Amino acid sequence: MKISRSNFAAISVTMIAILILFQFSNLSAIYASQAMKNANALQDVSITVNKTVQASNLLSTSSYTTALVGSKSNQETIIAEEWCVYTKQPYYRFPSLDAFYGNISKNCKLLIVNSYVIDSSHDIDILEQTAKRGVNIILTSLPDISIFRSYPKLMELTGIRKIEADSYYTNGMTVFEGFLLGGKTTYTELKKSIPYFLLQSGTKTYISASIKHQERKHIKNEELPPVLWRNYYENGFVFSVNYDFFQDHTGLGMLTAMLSETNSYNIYPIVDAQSVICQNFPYLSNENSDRISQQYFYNSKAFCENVLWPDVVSILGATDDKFSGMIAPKLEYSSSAEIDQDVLSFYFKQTERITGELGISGEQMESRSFHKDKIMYDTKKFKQLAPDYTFTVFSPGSMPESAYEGYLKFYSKDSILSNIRTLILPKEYQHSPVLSFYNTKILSMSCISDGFSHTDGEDLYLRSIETALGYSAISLDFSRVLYPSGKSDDWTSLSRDMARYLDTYWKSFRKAFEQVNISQADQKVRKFFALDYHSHRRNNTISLSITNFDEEASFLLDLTDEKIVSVSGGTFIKAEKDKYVIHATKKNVAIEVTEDLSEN
Amino acid sequence: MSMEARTIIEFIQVLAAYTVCVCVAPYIVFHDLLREKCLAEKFILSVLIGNFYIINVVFAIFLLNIPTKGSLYLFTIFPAFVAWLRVNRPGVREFFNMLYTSLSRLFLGEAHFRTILGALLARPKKLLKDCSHSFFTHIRTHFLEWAMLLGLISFNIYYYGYQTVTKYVFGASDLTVHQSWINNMDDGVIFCNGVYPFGFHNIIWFLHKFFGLRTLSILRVFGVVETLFIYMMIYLLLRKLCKSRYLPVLGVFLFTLPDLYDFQSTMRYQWSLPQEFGMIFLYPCAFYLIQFFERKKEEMQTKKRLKEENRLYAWMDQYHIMPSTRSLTFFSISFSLTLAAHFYITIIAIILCFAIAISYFPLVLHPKYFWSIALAGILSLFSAVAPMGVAFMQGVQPEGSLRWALSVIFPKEEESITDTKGTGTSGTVGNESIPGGAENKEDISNTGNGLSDSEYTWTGIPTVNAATSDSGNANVPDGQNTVLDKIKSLSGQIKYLPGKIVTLAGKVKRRIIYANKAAASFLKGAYSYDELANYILVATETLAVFSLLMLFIRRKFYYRNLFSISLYTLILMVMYSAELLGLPVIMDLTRSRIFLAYATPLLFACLADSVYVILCWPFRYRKITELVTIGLTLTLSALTIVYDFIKPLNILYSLQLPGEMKCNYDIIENYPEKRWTVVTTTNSMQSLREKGWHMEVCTFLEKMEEYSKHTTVTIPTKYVFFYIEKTPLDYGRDAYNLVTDEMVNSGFVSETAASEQAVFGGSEVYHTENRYKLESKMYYWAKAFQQKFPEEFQVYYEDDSFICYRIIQNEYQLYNFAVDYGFNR
Repeated sequence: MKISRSNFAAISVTMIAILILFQFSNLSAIYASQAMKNANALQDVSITVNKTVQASNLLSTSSYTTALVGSKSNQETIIAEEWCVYTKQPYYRFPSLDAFYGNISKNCKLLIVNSYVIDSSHDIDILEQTAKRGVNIILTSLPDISIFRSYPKLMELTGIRKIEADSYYTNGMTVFEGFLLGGKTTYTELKKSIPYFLLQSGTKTYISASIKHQERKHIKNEELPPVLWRNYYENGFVFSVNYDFFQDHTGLGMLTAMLSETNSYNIYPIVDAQSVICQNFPYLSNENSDRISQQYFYNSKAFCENVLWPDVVSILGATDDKFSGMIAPKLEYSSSAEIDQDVLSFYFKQTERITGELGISGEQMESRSFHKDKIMYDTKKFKQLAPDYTFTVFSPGSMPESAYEGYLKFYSKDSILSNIRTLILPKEYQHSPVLSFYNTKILSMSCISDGFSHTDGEDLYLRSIETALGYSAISLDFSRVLYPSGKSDDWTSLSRDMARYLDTYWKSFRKAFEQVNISQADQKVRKFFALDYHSHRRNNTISLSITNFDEEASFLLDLTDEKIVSVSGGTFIKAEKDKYVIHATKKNVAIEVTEDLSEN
Repeated sequence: MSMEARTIIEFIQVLAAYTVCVCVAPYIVFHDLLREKCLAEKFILSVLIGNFYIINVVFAIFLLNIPTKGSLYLFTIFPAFVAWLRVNRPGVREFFNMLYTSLSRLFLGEAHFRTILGALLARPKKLLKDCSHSFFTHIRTHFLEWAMLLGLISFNIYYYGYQTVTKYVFGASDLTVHQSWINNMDDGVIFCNGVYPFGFHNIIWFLHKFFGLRTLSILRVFGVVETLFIYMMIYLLLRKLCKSRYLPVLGVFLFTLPDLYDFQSTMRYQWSLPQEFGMIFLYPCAFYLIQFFERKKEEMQTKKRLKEENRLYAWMDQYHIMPSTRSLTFFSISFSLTLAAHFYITIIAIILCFAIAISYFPLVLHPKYFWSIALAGILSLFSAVAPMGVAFMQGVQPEGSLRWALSVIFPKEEESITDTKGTGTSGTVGNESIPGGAENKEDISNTGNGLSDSEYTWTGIPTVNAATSDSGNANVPDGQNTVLDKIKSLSGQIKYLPGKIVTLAGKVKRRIIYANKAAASFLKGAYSYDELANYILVATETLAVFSLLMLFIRRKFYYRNLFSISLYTLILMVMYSAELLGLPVIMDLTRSRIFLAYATPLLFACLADSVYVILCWPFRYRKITELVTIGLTLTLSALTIVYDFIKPLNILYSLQLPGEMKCNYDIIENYPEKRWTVVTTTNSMQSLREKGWHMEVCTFLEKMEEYSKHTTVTIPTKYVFFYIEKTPLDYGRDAYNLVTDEMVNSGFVSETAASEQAVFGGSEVYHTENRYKLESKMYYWAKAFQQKFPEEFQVYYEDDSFICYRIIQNEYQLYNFAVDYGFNR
């Protein structure tokens, strides 16, 4: 068969046209690329600390709704104070119950008390009188057993029928459905000795401990050692916490959940942000190559490009998480290895493709760290290789605050840290708040969990923060992979853990909360801090009015066996039974609710 | 959906389901056999076959221990399908032949698809056309009858359905017991409380299982459905008895619209009860027994004639079964159905058959009649008793109420004396309370019809009986006098004979009037007005005398039938007055008045028909003479309405509050199965059992009666509901109210009642006083508990007299419901 010349010409033209068309999209992407610029870097910060509602705005000596009783330095009080800021509760802290009762506000609805302030019958009388006034009481920890024995009224107040054992080794605990976000969960690792109480009628247990051989000992579920419960006393509820939840931010969610239990509904602002932060990744250098080659048959650079990057992208792609990478230009600043322009371009372009975000990491892997050198080196190198890129996110890692605070506050405007807006702190870093302003402009956000591990304690912590703030930042530290210290740091197992954890433990929260990168989370947190709100309910309508409203705001609505029918002035997502995330799009929101008989 | 709308929908569903089962399905199956029958007979036959079939299918699968839904479908559909195939074999075979031929022609290319389709659809089309044609022809020719009947049926639906639609609840305590038995059938246990006629239960269970309808729903509305059938049976029997086309409608009218009967005579039709269900089959017994006599006579005459003509074999060849045998078969089916439903109906059926048998005397004693009837009776008894006998042989003991029923029929000597002391016959069958005790006492004491209280002896027998017996004794030969002495005295007395005859005639007349008055007084309580009893008695006697007289003049079956109705009514009257007459009490007063009332429309219609026959029958133009009967029916209807003589709405026993039934439905429909418990009295127990759990109020309260800190009361389901009567019902005293009124209650719960010591067990735990105490305690318990759990313990439903609370529990950490509510220490 012969092809005519005209046909041959036509086929050739068509093929060329197809080739050009396919290549055009690629070429246009290259030409239109803004990878070497930070799309998330704003000219200026719109919401600074003075535009937000902070502790100073909420402190009120006469019209507080929440009273905190405890010392300023006490961790339980600090957590409670932080919670008041997040929930915008006008509050006041009193050193003692006496001081509180002497200055009790008629608006007071909640009293949060440390255990150590209760040591006399007078204190118990005050608690009793407070409950009679209809004020709900939260005991963030329980006084010593001897105090219970000495003052039976305290037992009555807290709903304790009998002290079964002063100390009983529990085999874990169960958080029941409806208390924290995430449903009913049994923790078998949270073993601890706690006082064993038997509760009287009129109490409701939210967390109970489990014990060994329960069936053999013929102990009913209702008689298991209670960990967190509520008792109705006269006109108020008394919540008792028989565990050390308030030694860290686990207490935040507990406080929110307890407040929700005092009303038919509880609506409170949340951040509504879920982030995944890859610490020290992308890695731009080629250090520790011998060790990496030995384990993975690649040098560090090739390993990062050909193994880590595809894995991370596919895992995050599967879970729809946004990529926020904290670049580690080098991890050994004593070495002479240099950053390659190609490597830098590769990661910047790849990040742009997956609409990720890049920040800068402060981590070093040397026994003697060269913090100042690192900042200088990074500044110099990025000015050279990516002069247009403005870093707005900084994750100091192990870098001490003293090393970078100057750069953030006062020093040269030419430093790589000079435009930082968001500071990513490790989990429970020096008991710092989960969310706070580092200075007037810079927002500090703590990581909530390690993406490579998930213990019971970490799970409870995560669920508690999610309940209180609708916020989580999962930290994935790749320095472990690049500098493995043992078999557990092998990427094969770490990547499996990472994929498994991200796809399971965060799944339920992803449904409810938005997955964002760090800059987006930063914006949400600023708006969260800025707003104030007021809500009330009439029959089946809950009205919410927001002040300092800026385009959007998120709230979590906790109902009791009810569901949302409609929302005007916003939208809603069902997080789980009785718990809804409200996205307000207007200042005034009206939520219609009705009875919910569904199981989930 | 409102409960009113739901009830109406449920009624339509149950009516449709039952009608399909007992009318439509048997008609389809036996279509070829029924084709030539009149509509009335088609209806009766279908009802009998349908009920007989369903009852026995259910018995079969239970006695074979395979009471599953699958086996029910199999045992119901397969034999029916086989029967349909067999009965309609020629038609079916013809259809398949045609199908085969058509398909062959289609594949051979001899015909188009459209032609084949046309040929195949020709038969169904014709069937449909015939049906619609016959339907419209029937409507056209019987328009007035249908219009009047539908009007009366509509009134009955309103009258008997009013309670269910507006109050939603069961009106009779018996229903709970029957519901329990049916629920046990769901668990695969029949005769759970012992051997009992389970026909009614089988039907309800069948409707429940086959159509997936809820037992609760069926029981709430089935009473109205069965009542419609009961009323239809009056019409159909009268169609058989009367010459006039429209007087049967008059019969139905008399039982429907005017306020003729005591409220107790018709109140039970509101409720789904076995006895009333059995009444559907009472009149078909008479229908087929009479038809048997007619057909047998006809057959014998034809046989005799053809034998003489030597053409007998040619005639007999056309029948597999002789028509009279078929009538007898259906008589035995209906008779066995009465026994399958309720023993009392059998007693009444026996009386009815006895009356017919007397009327057909001496024909009935003719061996060709007698042995056929006897065999039919035995077979029907056997078919009804067989399932119960099998169960008995399997080790199931007779149910308690059977023993009770037998003790009523065959009382011990002491009991009969005690009964006649005017204590009435109020009693309890299992949990089945029999109302009427109080009324009976009233009936006896207020004998305003010429007999004062003092005229009764201690035995309850009126002095008129004594007088009658005295006069009787005067005529009875003295045992000490010899016959010779009497003959001697007789000759001396002959001369005074004329004067004596006149005296005697006057005496007899006075006696008759007096006896009638006395007899009518015995019937007090049977009808709404005392005078009515007198008229009805006279009407009965008139019909009896007239029909007897006519029977001597013209030996027609028509007069025999009229006589049988008058005799049947008279026997029922005697049965009603048995206690006062000192006769053995076969049936208690409350029940016998139901049957007497049910017979009354027959009596009046027959009486009217006899007048019609005498006055109008000789005239040729029936259509014109029928105007008299139409006019009579319409005039009476108009007068009833104009003078507001319409039967007032009936009564309802205070057993349950409407709110409770509302909540039952709501919970059953909206909450997951077996995940909830309702704490309430026993009234709703059986309704809830199907889907959830039940805890008694007395048990619940007793557990926390001696309250201490260590008292624990837990209920292990996620959802717990508490039903509390804010105005506790006046329960257990036969307390009733008009269906339009509020339920009889003891007033609003009070602290005083709550503080009193209540009883927490026994058969009378929920009776008036104790119920008031318990509900008061529950009310204050709820208030105390709600204070401790204000958000969790919510009001689920509330009206003026009832409140339902709901709490949702954490099943892993149950609430302790024991609280100090102030009255439990």
